[in-house]
Amino acid sequence: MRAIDHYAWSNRWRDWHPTEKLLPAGCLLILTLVLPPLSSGPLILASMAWATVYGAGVPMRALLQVLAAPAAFLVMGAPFLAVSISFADGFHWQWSSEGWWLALETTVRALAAVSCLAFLTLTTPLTDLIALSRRLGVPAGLIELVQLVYRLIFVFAERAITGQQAQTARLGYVRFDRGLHSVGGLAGNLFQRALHQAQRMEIGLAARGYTGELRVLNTERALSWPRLMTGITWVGLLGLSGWILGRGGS
Amino acid sequence: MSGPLLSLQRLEYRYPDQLLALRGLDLAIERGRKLALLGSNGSGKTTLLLHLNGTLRPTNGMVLLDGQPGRYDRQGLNQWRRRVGLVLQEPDDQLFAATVEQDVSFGPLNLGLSEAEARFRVHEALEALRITSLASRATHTLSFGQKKRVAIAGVLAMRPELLVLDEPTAGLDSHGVTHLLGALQGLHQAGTTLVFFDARYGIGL
Repeated sequence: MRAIDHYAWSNRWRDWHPTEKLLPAGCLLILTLVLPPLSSGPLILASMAWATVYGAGVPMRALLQVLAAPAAFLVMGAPFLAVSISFADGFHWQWSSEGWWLALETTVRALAAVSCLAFLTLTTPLTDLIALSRRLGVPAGLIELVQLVYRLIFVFAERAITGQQAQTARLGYVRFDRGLHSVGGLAGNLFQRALHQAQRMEIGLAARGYTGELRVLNTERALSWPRLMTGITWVGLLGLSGWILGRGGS
Repeated sequence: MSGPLLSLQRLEYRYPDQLLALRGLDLAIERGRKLALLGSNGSGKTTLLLHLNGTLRPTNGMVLLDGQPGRYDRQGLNQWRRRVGLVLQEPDDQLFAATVEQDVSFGPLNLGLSEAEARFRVHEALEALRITSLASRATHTLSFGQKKRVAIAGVLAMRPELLVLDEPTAGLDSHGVTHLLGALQGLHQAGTTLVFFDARYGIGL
């Protein structure tokens, strides 16, 4: 998570207007859902990976790390789609060739979709996405919640890590049972600190005139029409070629 | 106007669990002063500090603003907090926004300033603490000392008449302390009344 955040704040495309990244990535995400996956999926996956690594300059390793978790789920889950089960006179199961296709299609489609999201999270600081969703009319309460969670995740992650290091220093994880005990203690401690944190944060916010709305200034980013149009043209070309390839295949 | 900016009369505070934290406390904070309140841990410093901007309401006694009893209704507290800025000891308790600029803009926007004016105030406050270069940084990537200065900037951007700081130098290395005290000295010369709370004697005021 720290790595994702780091690249989101430091990549070459960080200062682009979020629309220039969200619109193409969003359109491609929709395309992965409507186009035949086996033709369009690899194209979309490849182009998103290309944009992330060569465009925005995020290391390939970081991208693979982001894709690894969903990919692992797919590898574990997809084979079950290839199994057909029948309960007629007892329990039977067998591999089905249709199922294999379905599993393959699902995997490719899901990976392509995840690559769109990975591109977005690795190249766009969350604050930009928040500012954009505010403009798109997402309710203020929800946005404030996201904003606070984004801030506090790091506060608590830091405390959790320090807490665990301190426990380890006193051999808190020397055996499995002691480890369980330590984790429990750490969780309880963090919960208590979270409650206190909330109380003190309320005092701090009230001291600065908080009356129920967390309004802040947002950095203005200039929208570049050439970049946006390039992105949309790219999406159009990918969509078209995915569609043609898909038609040729079937 | 003459008379103290803020004064406490026979202040007493008892916590809901009956712990008596303050008793019979008198204090007058004159305009333009620089006041340091020293006390060991657990002596009631933070409890006292939370009375200075109306966060806690005394069980007995009074807090006076310009000789008038402090008002604890919503409007009264808003007025109060425009004039008395409070910086908490732990910056993570105060910084809530994702970037430095956003966080510092929170107070000015709550004052009802326009975006342009708020932007100016943010710049001014960052300048005063010599951290303009941090403006677009993500809050969670800052060092402790940097966070501390951002927290002060967030209050300073509201241009309070009185700035109250809870252990401003706690957790800072000697370089950080020098830097911070220098910045505070500048604020004081510019006319802000300062009140520090500290647990250690001899911080270079």
